[in-house]
Amino acid sequence: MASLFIGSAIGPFISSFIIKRTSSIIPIFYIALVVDILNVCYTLFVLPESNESPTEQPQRGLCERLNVFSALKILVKDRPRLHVTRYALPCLALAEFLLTLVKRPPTLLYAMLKFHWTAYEGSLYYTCTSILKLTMMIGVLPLLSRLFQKKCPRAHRMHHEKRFKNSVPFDLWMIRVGIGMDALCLLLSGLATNVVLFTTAGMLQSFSMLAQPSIRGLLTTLVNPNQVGELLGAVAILDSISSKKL
Amino acid sequence: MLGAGFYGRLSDRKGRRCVLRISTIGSLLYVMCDLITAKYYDKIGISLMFLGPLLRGIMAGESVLMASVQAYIADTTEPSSRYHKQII
Repeated sequence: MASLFIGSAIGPFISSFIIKRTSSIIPIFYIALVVDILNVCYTLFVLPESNESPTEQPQRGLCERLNVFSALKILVKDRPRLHVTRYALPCLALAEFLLTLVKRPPTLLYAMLKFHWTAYEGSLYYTCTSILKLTMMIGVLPLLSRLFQKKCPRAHRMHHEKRFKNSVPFDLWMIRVGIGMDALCLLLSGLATNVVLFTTAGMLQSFSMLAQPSIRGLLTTLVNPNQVGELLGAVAILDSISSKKL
Repeated sequence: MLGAGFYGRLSDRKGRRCVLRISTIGSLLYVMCDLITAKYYDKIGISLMFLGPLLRGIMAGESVLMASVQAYIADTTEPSSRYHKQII
């Protein structure tokens, strides 16, 4: 995720620089083409396989194959593998769905209408929030994770399975704090009467980055390794629906 | 959305690399469609701008690519270190 934010922080800057120098957008497409060719070569010739023991799955009927939502059955089919409630997977999937639903609020449009922002203020705001989110990802989150491991060593010995040092309490708290901060900052942004408060709320919203890696990590921990692809496919369906809704 | 379930099961059956390859090739075709449209729009119009996203979606779009990458991370990490790798 930090890699994504690095790309979204640097990419527009480089693109606008090139467009300014060449007065054309065609070079941008050529750069994108070269990057994609490198990506294809990497996945074809370099990237090793991670799923060393792929599994055969039971035959599915024609109706089930045609039903695009049949993949969502994994969220309710089996009990999660750790000692958590049966409803953990659907609840986490719902949290992910709702988080994606409000991931891109019309913040800049609102600021343009209320505070008469121009493209300059908007791009500055977007750049600052991206940098803060990146700082959150690569600086604050790993620090919090290490602090938690030092302060709560007992949490790592709660479960008897040796393979799973318990990161569940940490993940749950990160999800709670992340979603809570997101909701609070959206409320503050809506109630803000001046630019300072509005911008501060926007910057604080970078704390919402705490939730996403925890939700994904926890989802993958709750199913068998040979079902991770199917589970994340189901989550991708929910993400696609929620990102189109608003 | 239409292909996410299919590609999720495919990655469990055939491996993550298969889906990643399909997705990156789809992305390459999308960029090629945009580039051809930008250069020759006066000759061929903008029809390729509709074909590009369609191909991208059929060949494991961005949401499936993200899901495959996260599945790859899940395969190669222990749950205790998965959070750090997901961050990066």
